[in-house]
Amino acid sequence: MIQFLLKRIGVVIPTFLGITVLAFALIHMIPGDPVLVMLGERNIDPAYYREAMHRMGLDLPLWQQYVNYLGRLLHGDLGTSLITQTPVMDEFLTLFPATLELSIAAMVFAVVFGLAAGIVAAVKRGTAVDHTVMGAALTGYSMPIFWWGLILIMVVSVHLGWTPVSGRLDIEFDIPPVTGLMLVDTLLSGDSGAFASALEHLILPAIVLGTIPLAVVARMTRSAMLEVLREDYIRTARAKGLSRTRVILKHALRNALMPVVTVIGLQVGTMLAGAVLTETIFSWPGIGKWLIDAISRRDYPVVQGGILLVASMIILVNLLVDLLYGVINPRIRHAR
Amino acid sequence: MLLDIKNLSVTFGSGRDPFRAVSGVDLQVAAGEIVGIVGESGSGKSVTMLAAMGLIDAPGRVTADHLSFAGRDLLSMKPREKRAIVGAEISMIFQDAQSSLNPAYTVGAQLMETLAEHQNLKGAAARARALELLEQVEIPDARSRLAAYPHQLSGGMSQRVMIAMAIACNPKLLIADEPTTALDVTVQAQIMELLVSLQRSHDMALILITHDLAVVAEVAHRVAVMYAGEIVETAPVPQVFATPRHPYTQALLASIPEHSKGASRLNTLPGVVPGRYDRPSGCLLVPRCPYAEDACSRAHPELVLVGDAQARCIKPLDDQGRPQP
Repeated sequence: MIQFLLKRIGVVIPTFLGITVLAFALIHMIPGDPVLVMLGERNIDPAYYREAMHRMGLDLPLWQQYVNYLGRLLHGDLGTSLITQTPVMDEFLTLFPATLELSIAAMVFAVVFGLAAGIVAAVKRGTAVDHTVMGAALTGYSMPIFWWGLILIMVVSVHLGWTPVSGRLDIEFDIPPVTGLMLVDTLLSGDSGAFASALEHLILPAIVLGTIPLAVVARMTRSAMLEVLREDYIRTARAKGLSRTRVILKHALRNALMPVVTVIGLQVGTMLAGAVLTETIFSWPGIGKWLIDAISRRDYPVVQGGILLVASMIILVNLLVDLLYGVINPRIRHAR
Repeated sequence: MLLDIKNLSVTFGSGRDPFRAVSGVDLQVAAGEIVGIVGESGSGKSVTMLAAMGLIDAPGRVTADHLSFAGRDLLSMKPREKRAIVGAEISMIFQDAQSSLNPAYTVGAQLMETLAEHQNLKGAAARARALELLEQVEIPDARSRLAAYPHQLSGGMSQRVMIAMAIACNPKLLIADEPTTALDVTVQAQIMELLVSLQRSHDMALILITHDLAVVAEVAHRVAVMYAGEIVETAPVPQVFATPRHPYTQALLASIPEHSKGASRLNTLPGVVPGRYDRPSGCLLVPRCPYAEDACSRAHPELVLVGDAQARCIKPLDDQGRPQP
């Protein structure tokens, strides 16, 4: 297992380096000159321009700029926002917990209901139940996030008044940030009203963000289950006299999980893309909204740093997925 | 009678065009008896036994006039009651042992699952019993095998584990569905030997589904020959080899290499088992039978008693292997 782990981590390092190259190149690929962007394009004193170039290290050869960039990265320095003059890393660390909380909630929603729907559809294959579940999954998958979000806000928040429209917490609560995860922080504060408020705020965005992953998980679970249910060992399990539930949940599901875990891992990437929209719709103060704002303000260090961090997250999640494979499937754990 | 099956049929598909995989099978197995079920692929051997175990799923449909095990009616039994018998008193092993074990769980876990389900054995007691079972099926280094995963076992070893699981609750009947077909020739003999010795030591009945008549000749007391979903002949074992009563049995015997010593080519039966759409209306063997006459196509033959044997033929073969005049 240790060997398996080291091997996986070994693969991650070049991937990460590749991303740094891309993020580094980004600043040089965008049209226009970063110095001009920063200083404004009109009437610049050439001496001041050269001085700024030098200060930003942009007059050095490209490879040296890259080495310097990597060196700064290793110290956790992702540059400073052009707009707020705050280090990018600090902004990220402040905002990331909100996105993390939203993504975890959305993923839990997607996995719990997606697995259940997929299992039921597979077991009731070809029946009205199967068709209904799969039809719903296809609809969910095809739904544009912003449209789905707005519909839910209109119906659930505005018309029914069940949930708040935006934000993470009602304004009356003042909760000191400990973990940055609002559910955890409100729980730590011991204020049950605040916890309920945080939960109410989280539900709709989590549903919106989790809908597409749910549909994908449901479809993948169904097809993986259908395949596994045909296997010889399922017949063996039944010949042992085990109950149907036990055969399905213990013998079939465990083996069907492999492809499902794979798509869950891949969905994390999709989800971060979805988070950009969802956070914008619900004014959720996370990195999705942060990145969109940065792009519209041409805050290049933020965009560059944000992309690097988001990409690192995706790499990390995929590493975790790889490790999970080893847990689920003994054949992978034992393979060299 | 331990297992008593009367007029069992299994149908797949529905609507205008259902397919009868098994039709009108009668089979009785006494306690401690070894019965061989022989036939080509697709003749319904496995489906018959899966139906008896209650393992045929919708859209497959099982009907029977009577289906009982040790005096208990399996047809009217509630699923829960049936599950208490299946895996404990009747157990089954399959052709491909390696794919019949769940790749996600260790050998020990799969063995102990059966013990927990039927004997409520858990923890150390289950572990000890699992170890004992692995030793009974002659798995070397049994203790370390408990922690092994199926992919770490050879085919023969996997079949031994399957057998250990099958005999875990001292069944009265073990159904072995082509248990040696997927194995190396040397291992085949060992597995057969093991099955027969366990059959004796546990005093259980054994139904051996196979297409290998040589195996049947060696171990079985009685044989049922199946063709296209029907039993065409049942007979005690020594007789069936000397005096087959059904032309199909005769043809099967002729295709054993030992029976064709000196011949330049092995005897084969021309043609294939009739499929879903080309079933003859009379005797199903007509297109392939060397003795077929017009009368054979007129009506579907019933099983008739010929000495100790029963044959589904209007003109069963005589002691010289010729159709009776």
